[in-house]
Amino acid sequence: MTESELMNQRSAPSDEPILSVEGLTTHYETDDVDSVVQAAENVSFTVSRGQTIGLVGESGCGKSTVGLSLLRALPPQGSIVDGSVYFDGQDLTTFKKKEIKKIQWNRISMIYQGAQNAFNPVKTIDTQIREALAKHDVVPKNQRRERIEELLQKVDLDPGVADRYPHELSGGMKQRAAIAMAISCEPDLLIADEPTTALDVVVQAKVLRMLLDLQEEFNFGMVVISHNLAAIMKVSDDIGVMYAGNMVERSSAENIFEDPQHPYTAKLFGSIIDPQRPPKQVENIPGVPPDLRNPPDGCRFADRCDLATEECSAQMPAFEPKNESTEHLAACFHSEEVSR
Amino acid sequence: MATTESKSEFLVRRLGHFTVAFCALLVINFAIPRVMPGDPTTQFVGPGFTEEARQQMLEQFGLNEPMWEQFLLYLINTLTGDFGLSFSRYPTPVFELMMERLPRTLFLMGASVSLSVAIGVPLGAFGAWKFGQRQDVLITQGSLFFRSIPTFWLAILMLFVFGYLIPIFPLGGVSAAGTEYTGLLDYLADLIYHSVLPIVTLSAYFVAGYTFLMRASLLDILPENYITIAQTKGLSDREVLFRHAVPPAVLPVITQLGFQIGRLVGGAILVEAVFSYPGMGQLMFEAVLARDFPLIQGTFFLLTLTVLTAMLIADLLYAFLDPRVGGS
Ligand SMILES: Nc1ncnc2c1ncn2[C@@H]1O[C@H](COP(=O)(O)OP(=O)(O)OP(=O)(O)O)[C@@H](O)[C@H]1O
Ligand SMILES: [Mg+2]
Repeated sequence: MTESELMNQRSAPSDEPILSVEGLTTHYETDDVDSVVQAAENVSFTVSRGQTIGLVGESGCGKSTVGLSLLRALPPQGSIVDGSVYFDGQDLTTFKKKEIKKIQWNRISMIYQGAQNAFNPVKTIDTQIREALAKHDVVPKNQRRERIEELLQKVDLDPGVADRYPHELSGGMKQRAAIAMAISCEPDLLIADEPTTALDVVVQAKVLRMLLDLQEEFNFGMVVISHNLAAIMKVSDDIGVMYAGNMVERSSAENIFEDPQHPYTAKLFGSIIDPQRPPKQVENIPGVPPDLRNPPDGCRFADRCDLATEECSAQMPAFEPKNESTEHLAACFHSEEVSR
Repeated sequence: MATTESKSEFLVRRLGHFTVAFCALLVINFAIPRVMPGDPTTQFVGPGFTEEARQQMLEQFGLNEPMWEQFLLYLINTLTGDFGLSFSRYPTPVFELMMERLPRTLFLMGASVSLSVAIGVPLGAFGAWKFGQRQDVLITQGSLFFRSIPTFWLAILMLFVFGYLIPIFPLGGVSAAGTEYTGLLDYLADLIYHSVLPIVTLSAYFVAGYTFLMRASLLDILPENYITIAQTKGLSDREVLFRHAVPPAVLPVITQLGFQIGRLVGGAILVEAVFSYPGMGQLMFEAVLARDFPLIQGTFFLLTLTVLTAMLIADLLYAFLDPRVGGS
C-alpha cells in the first residue's frame, strides 16, 4: 500500500472500527525459562474514530500490556503470542518491524504511563517533538517550528515552552507537552496510559477535558487506561474491565455503572455512589490477584469472589453477551446474581 | 531534578571550592616542611653547603624571620613562581626544572585521559546496548582483567615485550638532550614515539574504569520512558543510542573524570619512574630520593594544582553540558 492510499483512508469517514482487537494474548518471558507472565489473555474490543474505550483494573492486571501490544511497542521480553490487532483493516501482529515503524506514532500514538519521564532531560521539548515530525515527514522542514508552537498552544502551553528543558516544566506542563508530542503526527488512534496520575485533582480534570477537545478536533479513536474510575467514567463511551490479564466485562460506560454483570465490576464501581464525585481507588477489594506466571485454570477472580462456586474454579467462564444485548459482554457464570 | 541555582551561581560556587582548596594547598605546602621532625633549617639547607651559601639560603628563604613574615614571603614567592633553587641540582631554579618536565607529564596525562575516554565510553555503551550477550560479557571480563592488574607490573611487562623482546619502542626516556629537531612536527613525533608505552600502560587501567562507568550509566538510562518513546517515534536503534541514551549517560562519566585525576597523577609518577620518562612524576620521585626539599615542595604544589584545575575543568564541562545544572 502506498503512502497516498494510506492518507486517503485516514480521511475517509467510516463506521468501521478503526481498531479491532480479537483474542489478544501477550506474554512476558522471565528469567526462569519454564515460566512466562501471562499478562494479557484473550482480550477483545473495538474502537471507532471519535470514540473512547476505557480500560480499568487493579495494578498489574495487564492494562499497559494491552496498550503496548496495540502499538507493537512491548519491551524485549514481551510478545504477542495469539490473537489479532486489526488497525484500519490490517492485522498489525503480522507487520514486520520496518512496516510497523511507519504506523507507530504516525497513525497510532501513545501517552506513556509515567509521562513525567517522557522527555529526555538533556534535550529541549522542541527537539523531541521535532523528531517525530521529521521521522514521519508530516510537515515540511521550514514549517516544523510553527507546527510545534501550534501543538503546544493546543494543549494550553505557552509556545515558548518549546525551547525549555523538561526539568524546567511542572508535572502538569510535562503531561501536556507529552500529549502535544503524542498528537504531533495527528494519529488515528491515541492510547493514553494513566494520563492523569501524578497530577493534582484540578489539573487532572483539565487534562481530561483537553483530551476530549483534542479528540473532537482530530477525530481519533482513543484507548484510555486508568485506575481512576471517575476519570474513566468521564471520558469513555465504552469501558473494558480487566482482571488478572483477562477482560472480564465490557459495555457502555452507563451499563457498566448501572448494571454490572461481573462481580468484580460490581465491587469496583459499587464504591462510587455518584460517578461525578471523586471515587475510591480500585485497590479496595480484599485479597490479591493471582500470580500471572501461574494463574488458576478457572475464573481468575474466583478466590476473591462472594458468588464463586466449584464451577468457577474448575472452568474459565466464556466472555459472552449478557442481558440480551450483544453490546454487553461479561465472563461470569453468575451474572444474574450480580447486583450493585 | 528541579534546581533553584542558576548557572552563574553554580560557577561561582565551584570557583569558591577551587579557591578554598587552593588556599589549603598553599598552607599545607608551607606547613609540611616546618612541622616535619627536626629543625626546618636542617631540612631546607642541605648539609653539603658552605657556611656562606647556608647563610645566603637562610636569607633567601627568610628562615630567620618570624613565622608570619616567612609565610608572607612564601606566598609572594609561590604566587610568582619562585620555588627557590634545587639542592640536588644546585643552583638550577626549581621552577626551571619543573617547566622543562611539566609539558611532558601534561601530555602523558592528557593523552591517557583522552585515549581512555575515547575507547572506554564507546566500549561501555556498546556493552550496555548488548547487555547480557556475548559481546557484553567479553567487554566486562576484559575490563575486569585490566582493572585488576597492577600498573607497575603492566609497565614492566610492556617494557619487556615491546622494548626488549620486540624492540619497536624505546626502553625509556626521551631523546638525549641537545637532539636537534627539524620542526614542531618532528618534536611531536619524537615525543609520541617515546610516550606510546607509558600512555598505553597508564590508559589500560582507566579504559576499564570508563568502560564500567559508561556501561552502568547507560544501563540506568535504557529503561527510561524517553528511550522507549524515542524508539516508537520512529528513530532507528543507532539514533536512539547516540541521540538519546548516550548524552545523558556520559554526564556521570564526566563527573568521574575530575575524581579520577588524583589517581591519574599517582599512576603517572609510577609509570614515569618505570619508563624513566622525564616528567614531573619522575622529578618528584628523584627529589624525594635526594631529599631535595625545595624541589619536593615545588613538584607537590604544581601536581596538586594540576589536579585541582582538572577537577574544576571537569565541573565546568559538566555544567556546560547538563542543562539541569542551573536554570537558563
Ligand atoms: N517487562 C516485563 N517483564 C516481565 N513481566 C512484566 C513486564 N512488564 C509487565 N510485566 C508483568 O505483566 C503484568 C501486567 O503488567 P502491566 O504493566 O500491563 O499492568 P498494568 O495493568 O498496566 O498495571 P499498572 O496499573 O500498575 O500500570 C504484571 O504482572 C507485570 O508484573
Ligand atoms: Mg500500567
